[in-house]
Amino acid sequence: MRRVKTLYVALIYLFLYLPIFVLIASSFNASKYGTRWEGWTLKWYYQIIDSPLLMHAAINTLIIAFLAATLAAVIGTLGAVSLYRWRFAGKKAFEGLLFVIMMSPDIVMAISLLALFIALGIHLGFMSLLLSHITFCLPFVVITVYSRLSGFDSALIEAARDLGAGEWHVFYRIILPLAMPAVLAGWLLSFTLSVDDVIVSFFVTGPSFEILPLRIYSMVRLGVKPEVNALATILFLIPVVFVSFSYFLLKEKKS
Amino acid sequence: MADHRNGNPIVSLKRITKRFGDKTVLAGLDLDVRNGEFLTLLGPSGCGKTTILRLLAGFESPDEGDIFIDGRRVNDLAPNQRHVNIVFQSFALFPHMTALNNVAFGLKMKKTDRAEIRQRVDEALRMVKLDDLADRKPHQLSGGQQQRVALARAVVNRPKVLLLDECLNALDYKLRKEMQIELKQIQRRIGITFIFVTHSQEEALSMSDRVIVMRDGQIEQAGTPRQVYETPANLFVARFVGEINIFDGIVTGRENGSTLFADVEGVGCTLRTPRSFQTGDRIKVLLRPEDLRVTELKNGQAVDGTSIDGKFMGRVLERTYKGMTLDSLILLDCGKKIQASEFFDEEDPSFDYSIGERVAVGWVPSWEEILPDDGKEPL
Repeated sequence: MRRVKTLYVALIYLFLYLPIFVLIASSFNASKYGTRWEGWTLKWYYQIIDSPLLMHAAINTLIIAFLAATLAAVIGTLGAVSLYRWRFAGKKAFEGLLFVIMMSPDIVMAISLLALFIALGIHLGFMSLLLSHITFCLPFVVITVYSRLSGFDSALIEAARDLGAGEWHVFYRIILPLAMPAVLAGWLLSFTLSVDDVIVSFFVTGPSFEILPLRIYSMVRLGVKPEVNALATILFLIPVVFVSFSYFLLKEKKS
Repeated sequence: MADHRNGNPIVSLKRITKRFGDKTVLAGLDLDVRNGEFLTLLGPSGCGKTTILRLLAGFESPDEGDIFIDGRRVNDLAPNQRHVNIVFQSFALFPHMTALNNVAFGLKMKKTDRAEIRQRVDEALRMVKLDDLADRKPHQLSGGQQQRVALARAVVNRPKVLLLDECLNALDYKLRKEMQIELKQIQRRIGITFIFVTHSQEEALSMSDRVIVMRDGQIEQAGTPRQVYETPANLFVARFVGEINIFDGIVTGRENGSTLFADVEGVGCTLRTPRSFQTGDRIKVLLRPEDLRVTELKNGQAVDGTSIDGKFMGRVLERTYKGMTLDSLILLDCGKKIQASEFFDEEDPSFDYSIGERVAVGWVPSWEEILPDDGKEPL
């Protein structure tokens, strides 16, 4: 029985990670076409570093992801707090609309954003891309933070009020510190969503501002190049490092 | 200000009405609280006692009527502008702050200077005997310790009135007992008015100077614990505060002012009451379990040789050893079940009943309470 279980788990992991292992292996394969093994090489990694186009796109991606995640975290947290704290007309509708944005296909959002930017005469590039990324990250932050706030004893806020705290102090001393883990989670989620996005970005950015996912996309249109394997490997390893780092950080805090 | 020293109330509710949606929780309630007293609002859940507390704290505002704290009308004052503090049922300690910072929070909000904060927080923590745990976070403290932090956090602000919302509920039985005594001691020491909300009659009786028994947004009785327990104003209070046996009776005659004769559950009894009744009135005779005296019967006669006139005959259904007392459930011949609770007599080691045994039940004369039977069945 135990062996069956182990086998079953092994199969699940194989199913999840086999493609990634193939990718990582090919990134070290000296063969240009990846059809057979021709020995180890780091050549493709050097090619990435040497390619100004790729490096430039990577930096753009990080800038957009950082700004979009940060702004979405700020706006989203404020939104979540107001949802939690006050009753206002249209609150239910507002909550519902958040889910609509989250669930609606990317392509719908991409086209509608594009239409909006054209109507407003906004030049397609950095600004339009940033606004779009904030837009699709926002619901994720609001919902993460809101669900954490909802888990709290509402008497905490009453207690703070009772002890003499005005609105600002309630927010700054009580709500914000308590919501912080969710705010960070929302930020990380937004960051990855932004780094990852192809569809919306494809529609709303122009040639003046190229980002990594679009660069890769245009590279693979002519077949998978070995540099892409290397690039994908790096992109895969970044979250692995992040996750293990935060794991050890949390573990240390507990003990 | 300060005119409460002339006997003016520290808290005064005048004709307060509060509705939630179409449910009226309080209907024209009047209540005065004297400065320095330990007042308990006692009642079943939904009777409006917590609403009173929330109105005083400022979390709710009344639909009608006025609230005065220390002579000042506070209807439109926000919670952070009132000189009252509340200890919540859930304690509501800030989980991200140490005990020390929890207690200091109120003073920091009032921009008290640092040295004074330090000194008053230390004092408050010493008062609740937590000075050596000041650096712990709430989750590192036991329930009883959290309760104390919550108390210190409120008291440190020197409120005019301290509100306590069922705040012993979260503690286990033994701790609750200890905290009852401690709360009372602290209240006496600092002299602040406490308004304590509970549905536990035991807490109400053991701590309060005055108990307000409430039902459906109305005050049923206000009085000392002793008055509420020994001379309940009505059947609701009688049943809600402590165990009680209620007998039905009809007045058959009157002697002088305070003595009357009545047929109680088929037994002719002599009753004493300050209330006046007419012959033929329907009455309720109230007897606490500890007022009753049970005698074993042998061949229709009491084994101790006392008269069985004016006593109820019955049979022991159940007996429960309680350590200090022996509680018995007795089925009377008239079909009524009653509770009797007797202290052990050390002189009589055989004091016990067997189940099914025939007994006569009487009571200590004049310990009975007589209420008119208004035909309504409370509870």
